[in-house]
Amino acid sequence: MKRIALLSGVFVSMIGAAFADIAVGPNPADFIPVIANDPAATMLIVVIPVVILVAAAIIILWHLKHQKVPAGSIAKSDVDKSALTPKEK
Amino acid sequence: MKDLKLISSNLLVYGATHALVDAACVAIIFAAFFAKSLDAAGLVWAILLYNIIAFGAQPILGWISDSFKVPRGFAIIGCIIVALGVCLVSVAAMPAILIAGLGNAFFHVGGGTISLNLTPKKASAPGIFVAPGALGLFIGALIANNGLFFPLAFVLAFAVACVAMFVIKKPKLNLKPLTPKSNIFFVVLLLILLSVVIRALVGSVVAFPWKTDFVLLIALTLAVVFGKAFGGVLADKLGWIRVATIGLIVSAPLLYFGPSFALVGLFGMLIFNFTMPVTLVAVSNSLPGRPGFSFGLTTLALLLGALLAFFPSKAFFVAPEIIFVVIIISAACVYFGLRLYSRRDKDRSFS
Repeated sequence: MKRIALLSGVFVSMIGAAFADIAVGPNPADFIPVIANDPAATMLIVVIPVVILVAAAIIILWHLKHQKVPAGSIAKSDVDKSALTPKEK
Repeated sequence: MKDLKLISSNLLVYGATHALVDAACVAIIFAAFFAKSLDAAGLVWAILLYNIIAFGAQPILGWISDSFKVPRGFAIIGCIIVALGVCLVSVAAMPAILIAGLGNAFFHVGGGTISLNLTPKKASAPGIFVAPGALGLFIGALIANNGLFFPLAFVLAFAVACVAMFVIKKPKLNLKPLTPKSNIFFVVLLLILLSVVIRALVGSVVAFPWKTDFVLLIALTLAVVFGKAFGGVLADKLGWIRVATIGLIVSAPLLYFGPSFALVGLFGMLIFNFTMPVTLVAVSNSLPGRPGFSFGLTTLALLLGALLAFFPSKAFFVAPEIIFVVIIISAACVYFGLRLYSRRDKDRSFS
């Protein structure tokens, strides 16, 4: 539960950062003028869809975590050593 | 030997189709722009919307593909949808671009699932599958820039690709879900996905002034392609942590000096991309039996990183010192994520 909250927090803060950029206003150096000139469209086209998609991914992850898998279909996994060097294995 | 034949034939077909799909999508966007169906503002919105659909929709589509166990079907449907976009672009540019984005998402989920099952738990095949995408993007842009966008040629190529995917023997698919018991895998996912976000961000903001030289531009594209393709193979041979972490650490100073020295920048991009197949497979292995959804999670992370480059935050990240620091943070995320992933204490992460 805490992990999911943490994961959600990171994703939401990234979206928040993007949103904050819009709210703060133009930065003459590198602000893409099109986006700067149309914050409403940015919200509608970029921020809201991305928030929805991220939320959907988190919900699916949540669902997978709590999915009941029929006992017969479960295999016990070994420790995965793929990340280790040949020597460590 | 039989396995090698299966792996190489699948990688050839799906890798080539990956390049074709990405080439077609980029060609559609820029062909619409050069045909004046889109103005400069429209082009920005089109790219944004395309990215959101193509990358952001993949977790949902991946979950559906895993649930119905139809990755090959998704890959073929994806090609058909992109081909539809190709045909529509002269009639209705923006809808065609959005349709292409959706098709791209379908294909990536299907092809990604197949590649993740070609060399189970290994990074080699997914790296080789993903690598031609960069080549496709380059070729697509080249086609559109030179006025060589011929819809019929793309449609024929897609028809051949669909037949090849349908005919070719697919690998044994592991789509049997294991429910994670421990919460460690959430931390692993978090760290690995954070590194993917950073990689996308760096890839979007790093600027090489020498890119205007056509030969160097080709070399840069090839550096990305070979970095992704060889990164997985090297990581399987030498160890994921070693290749991914050291690769990122070494690439940080190279990318710092890269804008001034082309050769240094090329080498930096080559090594920087080593980490891609490792992060993809680590996420996939953390969610056994859900390769499509896993693939989608990494593309969603890519989208979040790339989006930051569209906003004023780009001004902050574009400084070479910041890029350096951010890459080191990414290396730390990969290191700790993979360490946790390979924890030897026995793990009952899955039951």
